[in-house]
Amino acid sequence: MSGDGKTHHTVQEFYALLYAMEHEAAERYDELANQMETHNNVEVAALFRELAAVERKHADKLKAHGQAVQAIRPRDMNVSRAFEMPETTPLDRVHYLMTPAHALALALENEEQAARCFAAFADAAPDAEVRALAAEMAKDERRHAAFIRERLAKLPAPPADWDQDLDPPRFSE
Amino acid sequence: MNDIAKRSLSFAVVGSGGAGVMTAGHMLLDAAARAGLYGLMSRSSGPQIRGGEAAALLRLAPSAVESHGDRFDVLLAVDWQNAHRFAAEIPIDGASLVIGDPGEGAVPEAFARAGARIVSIPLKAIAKKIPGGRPNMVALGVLGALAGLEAEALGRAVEGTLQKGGDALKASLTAMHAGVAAIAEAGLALPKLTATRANGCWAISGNEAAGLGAVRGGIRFVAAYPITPATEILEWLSSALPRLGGTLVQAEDELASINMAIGASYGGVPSLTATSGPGLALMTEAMGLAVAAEIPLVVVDVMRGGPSTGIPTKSEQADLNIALYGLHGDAPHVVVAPNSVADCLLTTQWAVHLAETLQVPAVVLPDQSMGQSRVVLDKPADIRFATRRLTAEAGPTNYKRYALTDGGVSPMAIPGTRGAVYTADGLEHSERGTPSSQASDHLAQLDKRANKLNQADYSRYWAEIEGEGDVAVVTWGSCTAPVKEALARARADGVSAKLVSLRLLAPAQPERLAAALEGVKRVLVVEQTHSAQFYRYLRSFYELPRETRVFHRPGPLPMRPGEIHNKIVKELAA
Amino acid sequence: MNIATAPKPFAANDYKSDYKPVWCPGCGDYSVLLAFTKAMAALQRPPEDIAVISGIGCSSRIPAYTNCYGFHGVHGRALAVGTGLKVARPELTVIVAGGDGDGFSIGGNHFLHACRRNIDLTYIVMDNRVYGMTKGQPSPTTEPDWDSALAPGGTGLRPFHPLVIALASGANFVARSFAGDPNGTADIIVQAIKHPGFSFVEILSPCVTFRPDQREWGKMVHPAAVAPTDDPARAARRIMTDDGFNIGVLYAGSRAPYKALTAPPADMAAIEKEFAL
Repeated sequence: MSGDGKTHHTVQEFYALLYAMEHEAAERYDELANQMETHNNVEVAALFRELAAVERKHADKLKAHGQAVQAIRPRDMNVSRAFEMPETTPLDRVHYLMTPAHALALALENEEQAARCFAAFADAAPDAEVRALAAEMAKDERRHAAFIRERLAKLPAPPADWDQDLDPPRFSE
Repeated sequence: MNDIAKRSLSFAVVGSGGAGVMTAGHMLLDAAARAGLYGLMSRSSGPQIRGGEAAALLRLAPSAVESHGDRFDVLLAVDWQNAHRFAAEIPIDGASLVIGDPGEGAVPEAFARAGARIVSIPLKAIAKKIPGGRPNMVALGVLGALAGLEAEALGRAVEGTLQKGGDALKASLTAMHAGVAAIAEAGLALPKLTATRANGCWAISGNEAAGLGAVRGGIRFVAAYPITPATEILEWLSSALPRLGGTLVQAEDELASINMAIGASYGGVPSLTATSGPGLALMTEAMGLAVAAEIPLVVVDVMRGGPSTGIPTKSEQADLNIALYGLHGDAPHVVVAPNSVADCLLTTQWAVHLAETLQVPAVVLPDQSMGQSRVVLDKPADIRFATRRLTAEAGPTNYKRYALTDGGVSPMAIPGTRGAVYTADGLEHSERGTPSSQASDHLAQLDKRANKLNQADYSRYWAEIEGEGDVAVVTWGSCTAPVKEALARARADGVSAKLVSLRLLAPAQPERLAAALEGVKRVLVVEQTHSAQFYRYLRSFYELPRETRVFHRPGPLPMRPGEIHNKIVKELAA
Repeated sequence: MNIATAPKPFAANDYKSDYKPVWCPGCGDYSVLLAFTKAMAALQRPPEDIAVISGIGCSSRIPAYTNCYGFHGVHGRALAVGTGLKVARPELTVIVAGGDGDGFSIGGNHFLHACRRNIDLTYIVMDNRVYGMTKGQPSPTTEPDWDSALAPGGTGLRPFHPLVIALASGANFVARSFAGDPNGTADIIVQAIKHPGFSFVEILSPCVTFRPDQREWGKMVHPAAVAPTDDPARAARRIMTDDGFNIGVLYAGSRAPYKALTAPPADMAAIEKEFAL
């Protein structure tokens, strides 16, 4: 399941975990949108904003199933990435000159990560209801991933010098 | 005004190697106080930590003594080791009395050439006859008798200072009386000083007075880094503050002490640090931070000989420039200077008031001669300033720490206050406190920080103005007392001059000085610097009459009434 | 108390201000800010009872990004400011933050003495082994062979080992964290604040602009192999011989925190008595 995380969840707890995951993903996309806005990368900012809105919709649907029961430790959920929830874009994966293709690639990674995580739960969670729910969630995530893959395919690949900035870094203090 | 020179006696006592000269001087001052006289005592010593040559310099009078005179009536040497070092500080003449111990060799040429009357009193031999007797106690008796002090006053001074009691006390008293007897035997006497003071008095040093002024003003946090000659302020505060619910932290350097004081003040507690020139130089960056972030702060700089390490144990007024101009950028702040030992109390207290009211650093500029001199004075008046730091109430929405108010002072949120969080910043900022490089914000905040000082009411304390005349002496700090004495002398000669002694140096008060100098045709500026810093400051900010001259010289020797009087006669009276 | 009117607990976002940080996207400091907010939410102190003090540098920008009382002072002196504040207002939670240049170069002396004083505050250093704000000079923790304009070919100097220095100087709590793990970092910050005395947390926080090589840090960090010790000698041995990527609480001692001198209260008249003859 995960490193040192909990392995046995009730359905309530699992819903709380799901909500936390979507909520954190949304917050992270919003944070990244802010960063892109501050750094005048308008296109990617808009894209992150859009992704945030989508995750927020997912989160709202899950919230209806009950409040988060307690502070969830992401280690309860992690599968491959060491530190944060599967659908949360790590803060070090962005660049002020990143292109929409980069952003969508990250989103794709997130969805695939989440799908793998849920698949693992679907396989091995002790609670049958949790297994069923996880299987459903895995399907959802795979659908999201396909959607993003399609979108990504329509975008041109980033140019080789995408991170070239002719201006040197600035002092500010 | 009395001519104090006619009615004072000045004593110098020198000795070395644990002779206890300072203690004897201290007791003499104490005894004089108990006998109803006033006095001033300062000290001079060689560079050694212990065992070095030392001189205690006293002036006693029936009225308040604020500085040394032109000469010493008595020079008493317990021994002459390296005493020639003090020759320039102990001017004597044909009318003076030099008392030496024949067992300690001849009077050094540096003193002998003055032509004073030389008398031998075998202090050591006298002391030796008394078990546990010490030459400095004999010296005390000698000086006390010459000063016309009753044995009772001398005895109480000894008891008061030597807390030990028992045999040591007895021996000291016996030795002291032996000294008194020696004078009687020698048939020596000086014109008696008639004590007029009936009630009790205080004895206090300038540094202690500054410390007391600080706590009276409300200081409850002090960051301390020792430096000569300011350390005594910090040590006094170290024991007084905890008793008043305050705290003192010893810092690792002046950079730490100034920043600690800023941190505590940011936290809402009136804060202070004390230092001297070299420390002030280190503190200037953080003082600019306090200006920019509008944080109240008091920095006492007990000026010493400069530049650089300079002459740590001597006095000078040459930190004026760094106090006024030492902050980078346009960083208006308050600078005040006490004009006597006693005035260290009021001026420091006032500085706290100004700093807290105007949310700005206030530099206080006493000097070594004030800080480390001890005076006897009437109990100082209990003056209260209605000091109130303007703070923000809880819960304002969109709190603007640096709001552009009418008077320029904006409410300061103290950490803990609900709904008013802000980040204090050295970066230029908007009204909210957000860092800003916008021209409009910079101008607005510069105006705010300047206007709040320029619009403030500096009351009657901004300067001490005395006398009448169409000529005037303008001075500040420790020069004030010898100037006053010189002016009294001039008045006796028929020359009437005004005295203006500035207590507030920044922000400058050109209108008020113009009013004070109304009708004055000639001005003499008096200061103790090599480069005439005060004169140039006056020239920069004030209108001065066409005929304005300056008398300036550096430390380490104190300004004397006589030399100032000569200049007054030469420059003003002509 | 009526459940309906019970005060809402503080969420992590309650500790974040509206200001959008100007750090480069990808900067480790974003994670540190996130960790900070999570830590404060775990502690549940009102934001107004927390003060964040900083110096100068990219990391030192953090106070205004929080919703706590902030102080953005001059270069290297944050620990002094924090010390003054904590001694004057002991009931506040005081957190001092900054970078490796601010903290170990110009701030070095204050670092030693803050550890020695053991004042009850928490010092967080976002260590990216470079002076970022001034465009990429070596800092006291930079590797000796790191090439830069100011030191071509590298400084050739052995880097500072701040955790060992903290320990030797008397810090009561010494920990290392990695910005890439905001949750782990939040945990350590909580422990640091709860632990009495001076708590020092070095957070490895990559600089995306001047040290892109630090992307590798994510693969190099690992949890500390042994539990934290309260034996300074043992901690010193461990820390001096670790690879610099050992994550966790490395030392948690039991030295009593700094206590200001107190005295029986007196009024002004009693104080002034000593001058009366």
